[in-house]
Amino acid sequence: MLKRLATAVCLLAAVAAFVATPRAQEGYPMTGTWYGDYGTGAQKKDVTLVMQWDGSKASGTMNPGPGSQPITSVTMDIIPGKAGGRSLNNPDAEAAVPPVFNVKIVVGDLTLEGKMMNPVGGNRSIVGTYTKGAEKGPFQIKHL
Amino acid sequence: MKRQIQNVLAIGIGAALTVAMATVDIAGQQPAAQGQGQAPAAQGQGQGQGQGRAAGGGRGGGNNQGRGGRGAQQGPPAAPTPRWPDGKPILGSVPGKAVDGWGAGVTTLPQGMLDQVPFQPWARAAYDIRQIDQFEPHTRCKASGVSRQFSTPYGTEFVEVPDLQRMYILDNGGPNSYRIIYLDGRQFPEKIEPTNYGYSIGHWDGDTLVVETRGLNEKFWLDTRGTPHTKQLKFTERFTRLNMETMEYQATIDDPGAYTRPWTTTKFQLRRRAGEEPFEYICQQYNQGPELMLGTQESIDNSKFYVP
Repeated sequence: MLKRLATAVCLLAAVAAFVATPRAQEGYPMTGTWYGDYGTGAQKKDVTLVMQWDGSKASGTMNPGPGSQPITSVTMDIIPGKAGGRSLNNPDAEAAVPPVFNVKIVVGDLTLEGKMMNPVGGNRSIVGTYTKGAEKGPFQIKHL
Repeated sequence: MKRQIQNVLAIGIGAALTVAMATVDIAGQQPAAQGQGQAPAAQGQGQGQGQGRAAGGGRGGGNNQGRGGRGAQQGPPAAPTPRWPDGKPILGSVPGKAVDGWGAGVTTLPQGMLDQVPFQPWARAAYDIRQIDQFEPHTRCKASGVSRQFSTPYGTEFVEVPDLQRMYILDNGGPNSYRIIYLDGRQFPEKIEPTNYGYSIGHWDGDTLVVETRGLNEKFWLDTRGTPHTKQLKFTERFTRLNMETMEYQATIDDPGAYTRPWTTTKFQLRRRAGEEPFEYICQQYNQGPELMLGTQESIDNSKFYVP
């Protein structure tokens, strides 16, 4: 029991350390490893997604290791932003509106849909809703 | 009493001798002290000038130190391009003369042609966001390769080593690191582990050094303004020393991960920094935006210019 607890604490500490350190990845925003969960309460499930980008298509794996599943599809719907003239010298001008990145990840019958927060920052995350058959609930993943 | 007088005299004479010796010693050290003092003095000067240059070079697109950047006053015609005995242009310092550097000159790769850059939608969106609230990895002292080297606040130095058939490009500011350009006719390795500076191979096309770089990682921006790229990038640079004072620079970006087709920048000019020795620059120590090192980027004031 104690051994299991120690292992769990070590794993949690490792994940926490990983999450706390922003990883430099300035290319295609979906590339890399994402970690988070979907669902609520006892139904909450951890999820790890590893993705690559070949220039026209993102692909990857959910929960690498035993029981891993290939990612069926990844789509990123970008709503362009708007330039603004606001600056220190012109504080009353219209503020710029940043583009919005809406993401949809499908893995078998699981669909994760959400908005990417801080999409070009090291601490980017995706927050939204998951659906799996009749199930529906919140999901969130962070870029490691 | 006599003994006390002797002691006082002995101490007095000893002290006088000590002062005299120290004076002689200091006098003797003066040239050395001056010599040593030049480095920090030059360093201080470099920093002061560099800040001005960075603000101009990084955001405004010019070198404002009267060194011949855009808008500089016209002087006498520059001396011709220096050449090696075999006739090839010398891109770095002229052997036997003072060490030269090149000032920052490449501001933003899409300068004057943003609407013609064939961005993929995500790449354009990333570029747009970076204009609003992002700072580049360079501000966190991260080495930033290829074209970004030529926006480094304190310029670069080209060190040609003909015997080794290679050239080094040293960053004076920022990460204070260097890139190697192989000129020995080698081919690219089959597998290159992606790095910040990548793997650069050069060849001469007339008086122009053409350098292709592959194996770049995604941990830096191509310029101060956030031109994105992916690991698929093949980056080709053309260096042409037009005369003693000016180096022309042009790049072709071939990155199917971020652009729909290859594209070529306009021509930029690097200006010679005559006789400027490189100096030690510790990015983490001199960084004027130390909070950026944390990388949280939750609160960004883009109206300030940070000199890493």
